[in-house]
Amino acid sequence: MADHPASSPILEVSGLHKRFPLDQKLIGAPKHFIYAVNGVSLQLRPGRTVGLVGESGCGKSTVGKLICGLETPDVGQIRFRGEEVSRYSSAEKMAYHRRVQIIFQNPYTSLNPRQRAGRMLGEIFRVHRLCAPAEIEKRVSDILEAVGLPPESRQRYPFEFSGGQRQRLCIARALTVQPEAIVCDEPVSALDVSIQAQILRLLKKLQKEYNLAYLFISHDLSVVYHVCDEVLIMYLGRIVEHGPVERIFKNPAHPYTKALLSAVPIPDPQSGRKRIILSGEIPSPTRIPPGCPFFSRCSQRMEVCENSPPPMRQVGPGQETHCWLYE
Amino acid sequence: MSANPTSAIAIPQSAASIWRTVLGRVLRNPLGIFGLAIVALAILAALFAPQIAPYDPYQQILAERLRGPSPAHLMGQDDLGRDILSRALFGTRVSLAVGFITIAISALAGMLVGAIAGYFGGWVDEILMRLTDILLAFPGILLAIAIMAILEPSFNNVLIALCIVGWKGYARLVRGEVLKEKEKEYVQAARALGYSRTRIIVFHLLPNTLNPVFVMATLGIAGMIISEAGLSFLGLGTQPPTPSWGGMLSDGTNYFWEAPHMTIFPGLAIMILVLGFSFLGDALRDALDPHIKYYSES
Repeated sequence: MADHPASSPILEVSGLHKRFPLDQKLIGAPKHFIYAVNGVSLQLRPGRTVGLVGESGCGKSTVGKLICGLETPDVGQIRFRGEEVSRYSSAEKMAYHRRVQIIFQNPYTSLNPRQRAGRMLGEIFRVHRLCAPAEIEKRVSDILEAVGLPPESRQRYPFEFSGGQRQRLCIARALTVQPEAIVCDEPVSALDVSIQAQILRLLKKLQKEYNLAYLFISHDLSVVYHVCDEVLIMYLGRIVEHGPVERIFKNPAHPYTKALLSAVPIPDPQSGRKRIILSGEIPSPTRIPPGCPFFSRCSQRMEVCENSPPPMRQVGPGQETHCWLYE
Repeated sequence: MSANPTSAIAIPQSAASIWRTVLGRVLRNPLGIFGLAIVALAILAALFAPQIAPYDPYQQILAERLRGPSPAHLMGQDDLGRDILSRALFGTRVSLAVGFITIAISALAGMLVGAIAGYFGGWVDEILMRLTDILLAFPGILLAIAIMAILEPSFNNVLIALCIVGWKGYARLVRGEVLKEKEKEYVQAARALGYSRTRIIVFHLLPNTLNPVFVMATLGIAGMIISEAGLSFLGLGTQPPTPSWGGMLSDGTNYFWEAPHMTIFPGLAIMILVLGFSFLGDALRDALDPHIKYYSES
């Protein structure tokens, strides 16, 4: 998959930083921050899926929210088709919301419990004036059908759907505005394994149909391996390694990637693979270490790692890593 | 569906069926039946007072003043010879009107203030919440008396005074609910769709704060009825000759030893109606309690 000719990106993120104040007061600037995202760059291309992997708290969801405009970056750019998103007028922002959508992890809290499915989808058509009012009903049915829900579900409240159906409804919501890119923030983590496969198949099918670009945020590496074309490994707000999915999974370069991959269960007790058990503490995101973020837990750390941030090195075709080992 | 027990009640199958379920639960509670019956009777009495009342509540028969209960006048007659039962029935109108109108206005105002404070946070929240704190620091009835002293006593001004006193609790309640709800992903999804803040607050956040507001309002009506009676008792509320329970109580105090029935019956009326609303509110609170799964019952 790595050999696909890369089409030009529709969404480009570069040098994204975001910190959240811990001691927000009415008067005076806050002194303590959580540094959630510290220089993330990525590109989304039509019809391609980019995986964003990392443990909880590493800032991967914040990246998704920044891209969807739910948070504003402190530093860095988000460019959509070459245009800087932060400079958009309010009408252009509205249009951007039609181009870039998001699907959340928890299908139980991501639907308004007091809104019937049909009304929820109809509202989108009305707010964005996507079609004539008389057409809305038919369009809602079309969308429901596209995600595999019967047209009768328009009459139902979220409570009457199963977890998988709810996630289909969330996908329908994101799809209604006919976006070009969708941020999938752990879209299947809250679902049963059997349902996960259905939802992933649906996402694949929709991607093919509408040539969608996905940012697939997940901590589940086996899912990422199956759905992504490209993977970014994130640690403490930074990308430590990225590359085509096959390369990353076959030849991980960064010690953190290696440790992560060794934790993926393989259904073969004789595989003889050794698990890398990480020791040491994750640094607090309120105080980012000056050198390599992974220093405190790395099994191959060197003196240089503690105080100097590792440079980015190409270690294979399209594969780059931030590690002093490859200097 | 056990994944999210707190929203069990907030997710009705249909609007009609959830109210049927809630009503069923209220009726399973003896105090709930009692409360509902009293409130229903009071509403009927208020609506049909002209038909039910045995006499004209304004008709004075001075020759029969201060007469005790008799078969002709079940609750006796007052200092001007008016029939107390008829006046009490008409008084229901004042009490219920004040109760319902003030609660509706103050709950709506409080919801709006609370939602704005909770959703926007920061400065807006600070200012609005300090304002409610200041109001919360005053004893409600004292503030209402002060407001009535500034305005002139009349039915409409009673409404204004009680609304000024009444909205703060709802603001606090709804602010808390909004703080909780706004972090949920459905609100984030609405923002990601570019919905306006007004749309998100009115159509997405506020409907999800309705249950606790509804319980608070039912219990609050009782408080409003007492406050109105208190103001009328002090001569600051509904003005004579319009029959109101507080006013009747006030008239009765001058003749307490000669004609205790003038005080006892309006006092009983206030007590029973207030009890009715309190019981109904308690039963509603239990019925809407999200920790009891309503769908497990038939």
